[in-house]
Amino acid sequence: MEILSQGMVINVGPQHPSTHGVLRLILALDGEQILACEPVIGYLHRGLEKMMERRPYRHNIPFTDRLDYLAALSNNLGICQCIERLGAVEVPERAKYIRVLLMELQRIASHLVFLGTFGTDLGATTMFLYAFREREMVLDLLEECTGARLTYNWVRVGGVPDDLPEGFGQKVLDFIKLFRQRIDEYNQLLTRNRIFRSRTRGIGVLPKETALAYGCSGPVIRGSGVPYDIRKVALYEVYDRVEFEVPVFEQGDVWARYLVRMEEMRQSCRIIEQVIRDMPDGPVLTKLPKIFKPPAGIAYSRVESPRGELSFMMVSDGSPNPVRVHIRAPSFVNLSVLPRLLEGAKVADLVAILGSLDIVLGEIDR
Amino acid sequence: MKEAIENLLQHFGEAVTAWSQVSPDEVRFTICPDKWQEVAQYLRDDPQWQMDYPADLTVWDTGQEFGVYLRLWSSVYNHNVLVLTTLSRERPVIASLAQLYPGVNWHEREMYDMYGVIFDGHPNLKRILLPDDWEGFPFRKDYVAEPSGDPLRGPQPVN
Repeated sequence: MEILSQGMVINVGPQHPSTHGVLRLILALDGEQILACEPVIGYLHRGLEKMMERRPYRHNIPFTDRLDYLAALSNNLGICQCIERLGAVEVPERAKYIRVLLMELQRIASHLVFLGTFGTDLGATTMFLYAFREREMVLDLLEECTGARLTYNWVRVGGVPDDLPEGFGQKVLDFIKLFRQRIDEYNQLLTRNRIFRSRTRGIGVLPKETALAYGCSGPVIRGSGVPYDIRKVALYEVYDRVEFEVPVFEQGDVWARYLVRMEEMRQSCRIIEQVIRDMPDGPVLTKLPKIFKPPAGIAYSRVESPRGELSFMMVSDGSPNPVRVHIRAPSFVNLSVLPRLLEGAKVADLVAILGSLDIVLGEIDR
Repeated sequence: MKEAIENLLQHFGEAVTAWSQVSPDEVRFTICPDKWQEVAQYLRDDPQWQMDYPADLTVWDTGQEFGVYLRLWSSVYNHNVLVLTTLSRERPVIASLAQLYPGVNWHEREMYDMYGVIFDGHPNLKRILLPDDWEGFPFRKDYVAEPSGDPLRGPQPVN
């Protein structure tokens, strides 16, 4: 018997729990199969780049907390590095180590949100509770250091605003020791779960050439076999002095992107241990003039945020305000490959594929 | 990299108006806008460059003219190239690179949305972040918006 199916256009979002924010997807379906997908974005657009043009350089750092709100510290670092390059500002050694320490804690916190929400997307709701239990511990550490839990605003042009609190290093090491065991627990609960494996393996395959041509970055491109990690290719701060590996998987499916993030959390633990061991004493902030005027020119910075290559680009004309601030948000570029990934996929796999890209709408819409 | 730069300069002649090597792995070219697509294609296909990764594309407005900025990365050599050009405010048209690099598709749509720069040959050049019925191009320096008093309409351009 021949089963006849009829074409249909359906709308997902903008208010839907699996879209992780206000993202709308228009899907053209043939039965259960997706023929085409068009993402509709911009619901969170605040015009941050324009707002930054009207303010002095250093007043713009708090705006960046509102871009990728799961990794605010990476955004802070991105804009500060860009201003430092523009004005040729030196950063003290100790500040560089503190920055790397905080970035890696932030990466763990962000990947834990991915792990929890991704589990929930696929029906493994228990994972959410476990991942957020550990995320709370990271947030407590970051709160002790920065005073905030989500919008830290803790990196400054020329360093970090203050030194680490007393005994902070030991607390972080205690957490890392515990966290390593917890990763093994996650693996038992989710990675070795047969239902989870069959829902992620071979789904949403992104070939290596497509990932490169679309400019994907972060775990998305590393899950497709390209070892593109800004921490290795640009060697900013002290990433050239710590030993760590860049996890790369060749399969390019949802499963590979998940494995990259799991392995990255282990590598972050390694980096944190080395940074705490090697951290020198000294000042943490370079003094800058009250009115900061970088020379005219164009500068850009690259940072490996938990979601991929975060790049700030600034144009200066020598006045106290920037002429242009552009934010290359990793989620924006990673989302643009979604229509390609969804071609021919099943509707039931939509949530898994979208979840594996780990997007944050705050930085897509800016 | 030195040889590759010389070959590119020879190939394009006067179309490259300025260039500088900022660091061992980064070079910046300022070119005239009508060679935009040719230079990008050369950088992508030439075996000495192999710029296969479109990292970033953006536009800025100085008040007199538009600047266009393209950043490419090579997965083979780990080199970065910035390609810069300028466009007049009267005729902000430049060739689209979306056929060469699918990754700049959304960047070009965003720049059209914010600055009204036309990317000639783009497969789907329409607004991406703002609503389709938005008037004006808000990131231009001469765009002034005032609150309309209506929360559903938002700030409106003043003309």
